[in-house]
Amino acid sequence: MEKYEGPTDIFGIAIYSALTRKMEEDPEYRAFIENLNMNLIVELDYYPLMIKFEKDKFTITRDIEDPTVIVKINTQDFLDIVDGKSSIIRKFLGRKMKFKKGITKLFKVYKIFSKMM
Amino acid sequence: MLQQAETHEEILNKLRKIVGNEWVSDFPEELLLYSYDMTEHPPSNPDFIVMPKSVEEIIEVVKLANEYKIPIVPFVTGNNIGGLTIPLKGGIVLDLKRMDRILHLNEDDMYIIIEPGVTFGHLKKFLKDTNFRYNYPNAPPFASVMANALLSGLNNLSLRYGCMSEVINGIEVVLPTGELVKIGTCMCWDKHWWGRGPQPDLLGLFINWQGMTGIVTKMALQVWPKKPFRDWKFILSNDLAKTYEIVRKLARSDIMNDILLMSVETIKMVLGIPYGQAVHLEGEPHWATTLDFSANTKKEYEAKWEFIKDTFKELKEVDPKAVLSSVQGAAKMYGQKFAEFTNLPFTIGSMLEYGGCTWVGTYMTTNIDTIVKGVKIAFDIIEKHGFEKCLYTRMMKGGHYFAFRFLLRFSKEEEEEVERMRKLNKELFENLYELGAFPYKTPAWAAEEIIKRCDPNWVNLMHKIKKTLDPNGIFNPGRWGVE
Ligand SMILES: Cc1cc2nc3c(=O)[nH]c(=O)nc-3n(C[C@H](O)[C@H](O)[C@H](O)COP(=O)(O)OP(=O)(O)OC[C@H]3O[C@@H](n4cnc5c(N)ncnc54)[C@H](O)[C@@H]3O)c2cc1C
Repeated sequence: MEKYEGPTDIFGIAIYSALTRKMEEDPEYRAFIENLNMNLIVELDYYPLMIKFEKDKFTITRDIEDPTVIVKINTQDFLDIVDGKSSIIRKFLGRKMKFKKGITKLFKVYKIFSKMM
Repeated sequence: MLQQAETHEEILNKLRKIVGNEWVSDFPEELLLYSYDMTEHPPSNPDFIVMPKSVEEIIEVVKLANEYKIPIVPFVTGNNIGGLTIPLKGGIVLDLKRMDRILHLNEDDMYIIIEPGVTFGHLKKFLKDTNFRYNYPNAPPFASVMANALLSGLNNLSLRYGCMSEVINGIEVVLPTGELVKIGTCMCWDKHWWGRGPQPDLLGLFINWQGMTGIVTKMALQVWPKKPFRDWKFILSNDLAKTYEIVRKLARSDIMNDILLMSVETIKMVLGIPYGQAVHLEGEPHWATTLDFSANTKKEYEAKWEFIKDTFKELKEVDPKAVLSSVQGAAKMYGQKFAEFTNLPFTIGSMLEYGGCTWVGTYMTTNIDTIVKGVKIAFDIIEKHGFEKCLYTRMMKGGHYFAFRFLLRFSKEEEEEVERMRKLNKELFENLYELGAFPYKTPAWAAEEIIKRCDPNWVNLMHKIKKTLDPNGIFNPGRWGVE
């Protein structure tokens, strides 16, 4: 049996699976992720999640600490992006996706999610 | 051991003569494999494993079993999750895997004729290049199509057509006394298996009897035209009563193929979260509902989708965090495991990895209060016994009844844990029975409990039928309280 080291919450599993898969498929994306160094908080209306990017690895937890970036988005809006019904840019411009902290990392956040979905 | 050593050898030699040396076994290692299944039911060894290839061989084996009065248990893959193929009284396990032909697809009347060993995997491959679709369970692709129908399984078109025994057109069956009988329109014409016909319907003598009254050798099952448009959506929500209310409304709308209402724990299990960790975490949505629908035209598809969205709004008013999305979208995130919801049959890998897997699966009323109460009671019981609350329910037959069940995984390594699972299942049964929930694929212990509680005249009639069909009591004895 494979050892599972990812998160066990329903949205954390989603982000973890998608990120891991994309990193396996795309070496350039992997290099990008592995060189990020920040704590990205995704504030869904169900609960917030932290994606902790460190040198060569990332983890997803529900324990929030030292946020570098805080992005607030409703789960429905998030899923609309995943579904291809909307885009990160549109949600951002329509104020459905808000940066509560770390707006300067906008392009990095864009790249993390747009490639992952 | 059932017989004296001499008799054992005598039977073994006769069985070899019937099916050939290589298709009979009494090796202890092989007997062991057939003595247990994935459930918490105690094992029991058979005396012989026999793998016939033809109807004629089955008839000969049945005659021999009558001569020596030894039990026969029909078997295909033993994946029924009810302990139903464990040979409670020993005897012959008749493994029907070698009879695995799909004999006919009738495109006019839309049915297939199959042998017992045909699996969902076989059938799916066979139908791939045709215009027809079948009705698949969330079961492994290697399980038997025929056994699933005989046990009134619940599959992914059961919301439209009811449980699987309702889509049987006819059968050919070897009786416990060795006669071969045809039931359905095929009793008149070999080439017409289009329905049960207007004659007295004797199919009920074989459905849900768990191989106690006959060994079915051929079965005609309905198939349906594939639709050019098919889509899957899912809902995450918190309010069970309201979620269930819209599930019921959608079921009654006659536009859906399938609706599954599950706990979020079940989704986690499907996604491969290890045993013991598929639990609800604070803040998470509690319920996940998958919606499957199809259409003949784009316009029809869009109209159905509009109706679904409008119905969802009713939930959203009460449960503002509820979300509606597509299964394909979720699969982009979760990966192939989630996409399998759209591609049945599939093996829920993490469910079978720990050696133990069981359920109390029931059919019951669709009454909203009863369902909500049932979930609450069952969750309390499961929590008390320390297992995961993996609820997995399905609306049946246009919303006429409801499949209410749990997928419970456990480790078989610890006897204490197995015993705890037995207690849990018993408690679940007792409490859900009070609410009008009837266990399907009824395990022997649950059947005995039902017999204590149900109409005694039904029990008498059942015994009379069994005695008439199987005077020596050799077909799968020990089930439904019949020794
Ligand atoms: C993980 C998992 C998920 C599942 N999900 C579903 C689901 O969603 N829906 C569902 O309906 N089922 C489900 N199942 C149950 C199972 O797949 C079906 O009931 C299955 O198709 C039975 O096939 P089998 O090969 O296991 O039959 P077996 O277990 O070998 O036989 C089942 C019963 O039928 C009798 N029998 C077998 N062949 C004959 C015959 N020819 N004549 C007379 N009696 C016979 C046997 O004696 C036994 O009593 C699931 C199982 C698993 C393991």
